[in-house]
Amino acid sequence: MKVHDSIVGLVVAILGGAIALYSQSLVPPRHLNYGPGFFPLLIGIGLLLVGGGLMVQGYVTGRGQPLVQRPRWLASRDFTFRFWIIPIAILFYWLAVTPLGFLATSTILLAMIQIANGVRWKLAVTVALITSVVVNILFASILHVPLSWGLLTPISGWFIW
Amino acid sequence: MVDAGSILAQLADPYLLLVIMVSAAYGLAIGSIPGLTALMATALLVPFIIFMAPLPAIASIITASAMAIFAGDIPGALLRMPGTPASAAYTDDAFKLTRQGKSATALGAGLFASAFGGVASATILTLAAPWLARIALSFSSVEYFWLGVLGLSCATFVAGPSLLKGLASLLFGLFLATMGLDPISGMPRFTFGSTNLVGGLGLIPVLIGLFAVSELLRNSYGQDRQMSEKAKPTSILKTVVKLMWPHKIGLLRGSLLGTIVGSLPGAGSDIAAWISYALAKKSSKRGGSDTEEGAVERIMSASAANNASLGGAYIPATVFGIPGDAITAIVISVMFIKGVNPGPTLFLNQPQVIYAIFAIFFLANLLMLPLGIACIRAFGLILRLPTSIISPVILLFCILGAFSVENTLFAVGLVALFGLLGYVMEENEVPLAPAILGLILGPLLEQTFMTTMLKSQGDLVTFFNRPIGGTIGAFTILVWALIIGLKLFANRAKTDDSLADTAA
Repeated sequence: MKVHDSIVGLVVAILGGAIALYSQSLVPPRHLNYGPGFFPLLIGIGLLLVGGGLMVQGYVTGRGQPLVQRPRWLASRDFTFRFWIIPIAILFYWLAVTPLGFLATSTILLAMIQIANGVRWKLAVTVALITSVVVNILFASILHVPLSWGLLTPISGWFIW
Repeated sequence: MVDAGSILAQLADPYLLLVIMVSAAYGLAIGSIPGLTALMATALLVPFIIFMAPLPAIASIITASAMAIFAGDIPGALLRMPGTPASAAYTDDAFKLTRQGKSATALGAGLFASAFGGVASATILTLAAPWLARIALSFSSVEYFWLGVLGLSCATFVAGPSLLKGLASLLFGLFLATMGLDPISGMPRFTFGSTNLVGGLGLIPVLIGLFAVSELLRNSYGQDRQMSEKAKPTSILKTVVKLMWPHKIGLLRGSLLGTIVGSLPGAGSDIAAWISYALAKKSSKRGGSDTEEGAVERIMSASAANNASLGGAYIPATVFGIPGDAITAIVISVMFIKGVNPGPTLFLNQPQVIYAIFAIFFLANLLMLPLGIACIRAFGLILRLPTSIISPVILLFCILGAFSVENTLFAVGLVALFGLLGYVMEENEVPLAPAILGLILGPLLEQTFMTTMLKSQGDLVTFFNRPIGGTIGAFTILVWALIIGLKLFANRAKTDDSLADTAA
């Protein structure tokens, strides 16, 4: 999603202003010249200046350019879907992994994206299931990463070596 | 000094050798898939190596990154699709040779030059680092502060065409670094009452989000890859050994340049390759010609440079603990987690570890020759894996990578957030590397500044009082003045040109 340089500058400047304002709430302990708010204040002022510079530069050199260019993932419905499925999949993992367990979540996630990418669903589900089992054994059983077992918790002892 | 025997004994460990072999194969596979960079290969290694002993963990990163940088040449030469940005400089030259049926020459030149550049930079690293470390022992917070500033400055200046956008990215990274408890007073900053933010943002989730997930997003709507069945490479060894000697100057120049560029914080292998390519084309008669010989000269110089830059980047990383690029940034965080604290004291306290790391550099680069040849032959197989199946698996590894380093689901959310952010930043030509270096160097900068101020009771002159610190400080300010001056000058020249154009 490409926007005009002035808008980039504006966003940067607003962020800088917010950081600089927030830094004022960080009061230094007594007898210290430079407290916890000093660096955030510098960063905030820096971002304000850079954002202002970008706005001026965008105004001078970028005249006639559109304010917002249509993002390329809007070109077709397929593209939009393939693009957004990635953050949605991560979100899904975040919400589902504790109740469902890693094995189920990962299988659904992998199959979902593959089908969105146009893979036949039988192949997608097979690949998803095999990958999930292998990854689960690798991470949970061998590397001892505390992956959630979810629905499989009662029999998880069988898989942890 | 440590004796060579004990280092060789460490290297003879079969487990270590196995890790190196597996990492090599992994690096070659990732590097040769277009769109997956050496950095991504390294970032995805972290969840695995976090469970290893320090030496195999670092060996794994060194091997995988060196292999991935070389392997990027393969799809570049055969399909005109550079596997990593570091190979982009000479992709056109290499592909032209392939179309003439000389893919063995193109790939062989790249492979041998890569190995040569890697070994050359490892030699420089081994000789220069201990010497620099001895100087660095007398450094105080002032020197480290200036080194940090210098590192961030270089990172910003080389990051892209727009200085302002580079600065915006850098300041944003520094801002992310201030989240969590303040290092001096222990006051929570920017935590918004969330316990997840008290410890600050984890480097690995941010890194995986910004680089790997944003890359997946960008590739998500790309066209499906077209397969190319031509370009079967013939015998590589025979063709290339003859070519090494005539191009020795190009090789040496590329290696030296790559090591120097690599050791500058923020300038990575892709920049090294471009500079070396441009130098080979402009300054030497051989490299400027349009013949096959010229192409080979350019490929060899640039390919030597991009692998040499990897070794160069370990100079500031091991001596000062300041990363030269994003790959060494990961190495440094892994070293810290494993209790090997990079910095000059590493050379005093654990010389056997640091020399073993240097030895692995030689080993990895020599191993590149046989494995590289095998990989060039196997390339067809790797390319036949369709991205529509590979990319979800990579996404799963991104999620797991973030989770297994941080052990919290909050990290998974960060990956999604920074993935989208990285995508938007790249679309608007805001470079990502300065943000990452800001996040890494931010705490060092703030801590050294605060300690210095506590020691001197708020007297800013301290920053220029010490001989080495003052010199680095003055040099940093000079670099800033020079770059900003040049930018303004270039901009004026550009507007003058356009005015002249409109007048004419």
